[in-house]
Amino acid sequence: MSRHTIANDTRANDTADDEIVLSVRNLSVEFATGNGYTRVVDDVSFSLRPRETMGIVGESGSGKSVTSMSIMRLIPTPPGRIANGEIVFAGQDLLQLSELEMRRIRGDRISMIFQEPLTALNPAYTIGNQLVEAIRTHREITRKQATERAAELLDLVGIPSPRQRLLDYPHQFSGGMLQRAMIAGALACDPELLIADEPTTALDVTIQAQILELLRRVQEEFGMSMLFISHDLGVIADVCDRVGVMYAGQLVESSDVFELFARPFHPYTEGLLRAMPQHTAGSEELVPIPGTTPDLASVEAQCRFEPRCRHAVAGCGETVVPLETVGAREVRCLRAHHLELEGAS
Amino acid sequence: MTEPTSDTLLEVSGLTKHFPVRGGVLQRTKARVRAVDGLDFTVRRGETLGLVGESGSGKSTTGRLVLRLIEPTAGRVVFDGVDVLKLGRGAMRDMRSRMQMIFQDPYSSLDPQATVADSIGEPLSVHEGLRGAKRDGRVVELLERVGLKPQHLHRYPYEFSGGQRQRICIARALALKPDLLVCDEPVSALDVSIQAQVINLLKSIQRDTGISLLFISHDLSVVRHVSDRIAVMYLGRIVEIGDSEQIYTQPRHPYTETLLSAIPVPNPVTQRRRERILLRGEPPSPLDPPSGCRFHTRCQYAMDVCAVEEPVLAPAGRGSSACHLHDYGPGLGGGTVLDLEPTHRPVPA
Ligand SMILES: Nc1ncnc2c1ncn2[C@@H]1O[C@H](COP(=O)(O)OP(=O)(O)OP(=O)(O)O)[C@@H](O)[C@H]1O
Ligand SMILES: Nc1ncnc2c1ncn2[C@@H]1O[C@H](COP(=O)(O)OP(=O)(O)O)[C@@H](O)[C@H]1O
Ligand code: SF4
Ligand code: SF4
Ligand SMILES: [Mg+2]
Ligand SMILES: [Mg+2]
Repeated sequence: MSRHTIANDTRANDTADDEIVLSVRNLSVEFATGNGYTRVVDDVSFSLRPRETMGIVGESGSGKSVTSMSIMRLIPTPPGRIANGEIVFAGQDLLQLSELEMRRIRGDRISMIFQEPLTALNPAYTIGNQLVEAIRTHREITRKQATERAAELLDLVGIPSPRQRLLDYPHQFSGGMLQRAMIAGALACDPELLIADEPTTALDVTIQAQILELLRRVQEEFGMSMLFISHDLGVIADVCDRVGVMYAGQLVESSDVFELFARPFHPYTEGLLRAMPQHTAGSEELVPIPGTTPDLASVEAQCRFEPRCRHAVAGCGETVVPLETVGAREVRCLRAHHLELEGAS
Repeated sequence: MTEPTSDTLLEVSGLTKHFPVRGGVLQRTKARVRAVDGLDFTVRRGETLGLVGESGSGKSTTGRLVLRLIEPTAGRVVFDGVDVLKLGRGAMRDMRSRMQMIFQDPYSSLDPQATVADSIGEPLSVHEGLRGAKRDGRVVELLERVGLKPQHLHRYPYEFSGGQRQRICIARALALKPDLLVCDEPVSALDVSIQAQVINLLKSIQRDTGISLLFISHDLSVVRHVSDRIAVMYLGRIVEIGDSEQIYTQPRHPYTETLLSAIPVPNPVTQRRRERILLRGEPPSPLDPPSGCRFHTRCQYAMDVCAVEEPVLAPAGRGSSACHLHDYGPGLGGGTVLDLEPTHRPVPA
């Protein structure tokens, strides 16, 4: 099924630096606001290995989508601009490519699926038409061959009577089927990296369970890496190998998924876990994080979580907090070495 | 089903709403969406009834019917002993001050041109004729009750976060001291840390005022925390209703079991070990619901009888369930479906 299968088998156990599929280094993104620019993604770094699923979790506005749009080079400029950083994919910095070169990568070697599949599709064309176009953008094959491939793809993502359904328009598909069709489109050119930005947030939980199962399966079959964005720690626990936690534009923690849930290093991660309804027995009070996320236009250089942090001490509000490496993990908290934080129950 | 008592605030019976679907040149009714199809439930004073189900199951329509924001096709809504559907315009207006509603989207439910004082104060002006400092005094009390500050009085909605806007909506809904608050997905648009703040606020208001809540949500893990009892809806019908903890830990209906199994647990060790029930196929259309049990096309336990005969809500544990498993096949007799072996496994995604 995948052109990478053999190569992946020989390098499965090796995680040397040259095995990295994607490396985001010191990425900062800004948007023009009333007076000057506001930095909405600040110094974000992470990397993805072959076949790995990396989750990015964080609250609304924390910069998850801007990070993924930066990788696809889809930040509207203006008002946006990538202020700093490198995005290294297959040995080249995507930020240095021309738009034409980037177009060859987008939808071919890196694909993306979104929360609202309907907005990504054209209501005036059939599902088949749009799949065929997606395939023919990157592959020199006949319409007939592309149609054949499109039907195969719909079948692969679990849409019954695929040949017939190719003739349907987007509005004739349910939300779950649309997301399947989007996944089919994303797989069309056998990408090395799939970026999924909240792919199940708009779906019912029973349909979400089907789509997560499908993503797990196709990732394995295609041997892709996946960047999986979500605000839901339950979904992250279900599908990810590693997790990055974002707060107010910064990566505050990154770790293996099991270690993160067993013992978070950052108080914000702990707060998110404690706030989940499953953390608390039925009749007891839920445990919120007090306060709200800061206004990004006026954040200071110190710890951005300080006003809401139950572990804050006098020094926290005064110094710049760097992202620090602790073994195979990273954390942005001055007290990380002193705190014993509460993990998932 | 719970029999109405003096403790009963709201009693709904046979509640039905069919929306006509028009088409063609003459805009004739081509079909009917059976959005809500014969609901019976009660809400006691000071109680929270949770209403869960997937999108399109009829939850919002039920909420709007209860407040008579839309007219039902059939059925009765009795509020504090009064048959709401028989009330004239004026009496209905007075009645409405006793039943209020808050919505999912705290952005669109506030007038962007109105200050907090005007938004929250409006019902006080309209119903109680309060003006100026008197009105603002009451608004400040309400602001403080929902965790906002007096200095927020003259601010506009855009100056607030989503969670704060929902607090403003709650304050406005409480202004006339209603007996019933219908909450339609009130925390679905909020981040989890803020979701917990708003839920705790609603519960603390309920403890103080004895208000009843009809809490609508698609998220069973959230509903469990606010509700004393839960009703689970599927395609316009209640399939199970009962004590909240029982529904969450020992469901009596296969659909409830499926919903519970689909909510991912925020713990990778537990989540990856759990047995999951993957539903077959697509949700059926409410234009043409399946025969017999509406869930039979997707139920992992479906028996021959299920396609033919519609099950009725019958007592099961501390609640009721509408499922043939209790009488036919394994003869569960009101026990939990968690004890069953599926007769056939669902096909994988
Ligand atoms: N086109 C834009 N113009 C101005 N600001 C923007 C634009 N796109 C994003 N932003 C800002 O960048 C910040 C990060 O947004 P982003 O969409 O990445 O958040 P997110 O983490 O994906 O949130 P959500 O969970 O709501 O999807 C926010 O403050 C947002 O308002
Ligand atoms: N005004 C309307 N006209 C036609 N159909 C409607 C209308 N309102 C709701 N429906 C339909 O009724 C069903 C139940 O809708 P709703 O009560 O909004 O569900 P829920 O709140 O559970 O998601 C859906 O199939 C929906 O499309
Ligand atoms: S640096 Fe201080 S305030 Fe910030 S997260 Fe760590 S303990 Fe909390
Ligand atoms: S009546 Fe039959 S089909 Fe319906 S839920 Fe029960 S077992 Fe499943
Ligand atoms: Mg986003
Ligand atoms: Mg609704």
